[in-house]
Amino acid sequence: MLDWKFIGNTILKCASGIPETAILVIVTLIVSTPIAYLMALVNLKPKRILSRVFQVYISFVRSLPLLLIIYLIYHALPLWILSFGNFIGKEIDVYKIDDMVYGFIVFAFVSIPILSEVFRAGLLAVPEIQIKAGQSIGMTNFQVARHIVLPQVIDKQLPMLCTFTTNLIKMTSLAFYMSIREITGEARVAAADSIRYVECYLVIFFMYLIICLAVEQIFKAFERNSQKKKEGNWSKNYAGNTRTQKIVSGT
Amino acid sequence: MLEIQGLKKSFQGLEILKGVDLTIEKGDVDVILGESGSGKTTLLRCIDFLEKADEGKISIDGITADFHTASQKKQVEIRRKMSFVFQNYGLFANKTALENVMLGLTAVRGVAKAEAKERAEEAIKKVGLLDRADHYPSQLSGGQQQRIGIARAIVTDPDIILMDEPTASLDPGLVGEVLHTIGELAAGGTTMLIVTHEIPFAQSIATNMLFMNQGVIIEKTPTKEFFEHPRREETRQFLMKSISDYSFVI
Repeated sequence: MLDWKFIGNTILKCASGIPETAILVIVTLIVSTPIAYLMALVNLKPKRILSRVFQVYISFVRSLPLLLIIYLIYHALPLWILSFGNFIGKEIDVYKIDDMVYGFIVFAFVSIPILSEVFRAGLLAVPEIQIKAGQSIGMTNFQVARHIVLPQVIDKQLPMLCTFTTNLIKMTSLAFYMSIREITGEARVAAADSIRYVECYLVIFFMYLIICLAVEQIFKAFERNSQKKKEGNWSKNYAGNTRTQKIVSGT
Repeated sequence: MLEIQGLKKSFQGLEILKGVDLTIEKGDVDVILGESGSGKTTLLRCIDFLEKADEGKISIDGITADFHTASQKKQVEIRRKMSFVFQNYGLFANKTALENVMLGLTAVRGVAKAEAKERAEEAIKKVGLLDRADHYPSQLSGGQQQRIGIARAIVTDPDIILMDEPTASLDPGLVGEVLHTIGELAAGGTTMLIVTHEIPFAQSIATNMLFMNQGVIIEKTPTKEFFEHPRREETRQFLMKSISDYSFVI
């Protein structure tokens, strides 16, 4: 049956891949979010030339399997960099580029279109009059974005952003194909070493489950917070009104 | 104090404003009347650069600009001299009433938070909603939202407040409270340019009445004279249609 001591060791081994997974996810989010947001802003007017380019990019990424993108970027990009180096007459040592860099490029490349569509939907949901109102009190466009639009976009898209983030965590399991030793990578190595595939995969099964559930809870806490902020005042100020209370509590 | 010259604006080839000239003196409350579609709302929005006009000049408190060529910076500078009250309130849904009012001070004018809060509360007190200050717009009635909208407009002490049909989207029962608030502002000497269909109200607060017809202001007359001796035939027609027991002397 299951070898518990082996499982214990495997847990430790796989856990040593958690930092790689975390770095991949966090860097991807940091790089993709601003780019995706700007792209969503451009895409609000679909007739712009730049927006058409972006739309092609979005459809392109949508139609290709992630594994294929990984293979292409991981294998073809060094060659392109090499020939670019030759072109400008400089020797670039592509083998010195860390595998993680390819990881960031791949995951940002596939995340930006998804995120930009999430943001675009959120932007469409902010009524234009609030933007005009922001301008009317003398805000610059940047201030309107920061104080009015962005908070509402994030607030409205929290569920989508949660789905995206957990998806991204799961996507990084393919980073193994770029020789990155994140959680799945460590598990595959451990499995190959010991030929105990079931134990190894069961370990990371629970590891992903716990990580994703935790991320989900964090997002839910944010959602509850923004809900409570609104309902808290409501119930406080309408406390004396039993009819309203009934309607609010649904009894 | 506010001067507009030759303001023109077209939407898809249809000319809505055909060269509007307009002067408003400090302390005046000027009310624009006119048929729907005569360009009243567009005029106000163009003045505040919320809509980009095709031609025309604006001059307010020593700053002059062309509507169609003004830089972003200049637009913001001019906007900060004015406030706008929207037909549909336009409160920021992610901010409480108090934050809505404060934002123009803290974010835009760099006023310290404590002072901004004090001034915002004072403005909210003027519109009689201090007990609702911590509510979100979704928790306020239409009339209350519009009064917060007015508080947001007065808190920055603008040279002029532009009001675009401030009561048009309210239930009849809520119109009174908003008109009362605007009336108090007028009595307090606030300069305002108001578009409204509430003729009796306009008659009671306006310094001058402006009549707009097909994209031009065809008449600007002191209120009493406007109703007793309207100069233009179009104005008479409009007033006869709008007021049931209306009569005038030529």
